[in-house]
Amino acid sequence: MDTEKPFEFIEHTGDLKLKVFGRDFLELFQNAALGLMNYLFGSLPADLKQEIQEHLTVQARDRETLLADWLSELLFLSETNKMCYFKFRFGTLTETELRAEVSGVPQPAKEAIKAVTYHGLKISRTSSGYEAVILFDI
Amino acid sequence: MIEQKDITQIADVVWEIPETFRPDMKVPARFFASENLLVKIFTDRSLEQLINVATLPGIRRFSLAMPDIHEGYGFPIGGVAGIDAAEGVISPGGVGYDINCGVRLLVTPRAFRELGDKLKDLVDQIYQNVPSGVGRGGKFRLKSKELDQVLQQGARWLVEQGFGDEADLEYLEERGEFKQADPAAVSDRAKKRGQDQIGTLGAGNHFLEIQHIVQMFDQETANIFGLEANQICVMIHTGSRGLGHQVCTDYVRQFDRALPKFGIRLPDRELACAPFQSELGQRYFQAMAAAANFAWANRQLITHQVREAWQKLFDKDTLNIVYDVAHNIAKLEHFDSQELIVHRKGATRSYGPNQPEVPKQYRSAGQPVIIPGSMGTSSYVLVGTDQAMKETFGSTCHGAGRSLSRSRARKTISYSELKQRLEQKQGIILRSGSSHGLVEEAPEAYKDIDEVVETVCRAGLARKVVQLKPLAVVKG
Repeated sequence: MDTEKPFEFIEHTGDLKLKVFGRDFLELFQNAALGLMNYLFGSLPADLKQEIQEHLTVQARDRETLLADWLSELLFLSETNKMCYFKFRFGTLTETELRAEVSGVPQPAKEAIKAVTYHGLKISRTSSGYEAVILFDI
Repeated sequence: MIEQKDITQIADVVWEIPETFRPDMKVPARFFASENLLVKIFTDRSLEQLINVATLPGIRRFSLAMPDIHEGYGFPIGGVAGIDAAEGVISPGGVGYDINCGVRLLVTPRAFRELGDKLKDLVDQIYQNVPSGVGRGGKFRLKSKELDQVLQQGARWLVEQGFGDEADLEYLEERGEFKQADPAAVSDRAKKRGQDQIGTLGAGNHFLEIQHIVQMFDQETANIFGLEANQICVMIHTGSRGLGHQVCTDYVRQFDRALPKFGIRLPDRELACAPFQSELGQRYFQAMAAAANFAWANRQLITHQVREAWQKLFDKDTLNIVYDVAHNIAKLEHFDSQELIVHRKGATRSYGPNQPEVPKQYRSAGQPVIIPGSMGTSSYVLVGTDQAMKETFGSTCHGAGRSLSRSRARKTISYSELKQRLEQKQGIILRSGSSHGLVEEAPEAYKDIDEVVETVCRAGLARKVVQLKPLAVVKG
């Protein structure tokens, strides 16, 4: 995992495919969120003085759905609050539920994502942790 | 992956995968493609998706795909399905995330030669009036009650507020107001996403073009549609913005959770569906209709903004609407003496002559079908046909369809070369908020629109009326 990037974007004809890595389940969810924000904003905000926290709860039928729904929540908050989220602390993270505190700062987005899809959604174990593939409709 | 040996040629550009190909298929899968387009179709999963659509409960006749077919979510883009409204399902994947993404064509009373050096001023004025680009909100932030009225009444509410004329509504599919809409079926988060986005173009492949008519194929139908040689037109391509995207997200999630309750098993999660007659199925239909109304209202407000920009230079001119078509939508329609929910995902309605849904002025000819080309290429106005009514539930293609991924486009196409090619070689005025956005929409990233249109004409699904070429492109 030390040599694996936390996330990378893969070729897809119409849309955006994100491949995410994590040494454990928690890191997978953090890196997926970072990947989403990286696409939307390009880079971490330089000025973190106006940091604002939000609390999220997500419940889903399985871990893949939980991951997609977690990213959907962040996309909704980011677009409507016009915020870049960069810190993600989990109080609860199981395969069907998460409670998290997320921190963000106001920042204009560089890119837009219409939705997080369930298309080809997969979380798998690797020798160094977890890997997930998520497709976004852009 | 599907291979050539798995498909059978039925007619000139008509291909079929029989329902015996896979045990879960309920009907054959049928698609339209020329020999050139066929080669590309095998390179992605679009045919597998078309086969998956053929497994949906209540699907009738065929799962269909137009020649701009490419891989989507659940349904392929370019997909059409007629599903029994009494016994079958409704699927948000058969509509798309951008509910009522569609195209509107305006005509002006000016010919190309009359614009001269006023064109640049016109483009700049439109670029100023019509917000475009990522995160760019509109000039209007709707209050909750106003947003509910937009969701209920669509374009009509905008007209009643003074943004257009009553006469405009006659020339919009559904008169710009899907009657089955219920704002209560749209979530608060979808409303929050859409609240400040009305009257905005968005980004990606959405655009506004000033075009002129360069070729006349059917003078008689062009006369009926009010189109003349060399006439300047304005084409608007946009949809329901974040509101529609969130409606689809919300209901895909709910349908996905409810599948076990309905005893539905699917080969692809993004085909998540519910019985149309179930409470959940009806709620999605009502929410989808409301989001569709938001899109018609959006295009109505943009029309008003374009008219204002135009009248700053030509204050006595009137810009009339030729027609406004939806290409991501599900509608209750009658075919084969049955009521069906016809899903069109990246496909356009193409009704033939004498259909009551078509504006009275056009009825003898058929419905105008507006097909936007990719950036810098031709667009077309076609007319719907009886053959489309017989073969594709009155449907045809919607555009060119992508052939290159956005990342490949960014790696292989030079922004400066593209800009020079469009501006200097083709003489097109560009106003774009994003250099990589421009590159991602380069014409070489898309299939050949002329080939796609030629194919639907060979199949008899529409007939060419006029060809238009861009003079200016405005995009986010």
